[in-house]
Amino acid sequence: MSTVRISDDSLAKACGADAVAAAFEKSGAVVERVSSWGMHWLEPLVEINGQGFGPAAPDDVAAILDGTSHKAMTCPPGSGPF
Amino acid sequence: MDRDGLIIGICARHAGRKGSLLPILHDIQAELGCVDEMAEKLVAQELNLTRAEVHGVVSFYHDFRTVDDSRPSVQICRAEACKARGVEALMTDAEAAAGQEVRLETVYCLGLCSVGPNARIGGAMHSRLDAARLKKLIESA
Repeated sequence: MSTVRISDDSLAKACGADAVAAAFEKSGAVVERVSSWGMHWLEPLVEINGQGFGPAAPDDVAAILDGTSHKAMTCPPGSGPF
Repeated sequence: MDRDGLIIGICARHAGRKGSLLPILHDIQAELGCVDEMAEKLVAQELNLTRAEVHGVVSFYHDFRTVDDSRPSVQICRAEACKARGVEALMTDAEAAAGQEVRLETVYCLGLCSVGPNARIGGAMHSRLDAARLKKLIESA
């Protein structure tokens, strides 16, 4: 299974990133805590194979993992030419 | 250990440390619940500072209390960004939920301006608060 990357900074944690990370771990995913992309309106932002989802809640985990989540970002994080 | 001994012990723990006054005051408040007049005097004596210097620091920072208050505290940001995001509309319900059991403290900026209204309880920050979430947090503080 791909690594799920979730921000570990104070803003993401205030938005509930720890609960989202725990829900992914409970579902068997490997979670890596990273720094934030700075897109605060999308925190907790979840990144899997370059695709971003947000703002994610623990209830969104199943849909994100099976590809049916409506919270997918239309432009993957890090896709800018800079 | 009596209060004097405890304060002297805290000062000794930080002996030789540069800028030890603030950590000492934090430790005293953590142990005794406040930094009162007697504590100020003793810290001044132990650090070889004037009483005025210690009192200046204690009275400058709102985090320090001069009277013990062991109630749980909830810090609510009421600075510009959180005001713009509606914190004032939450305050009546928050005060009702807190009653006399929880100490509500107003703070000015927790640094999470883009996702306010924000609050801090202990070491944990909570963002995007609405009336229901804030009430729940206060009740479980």
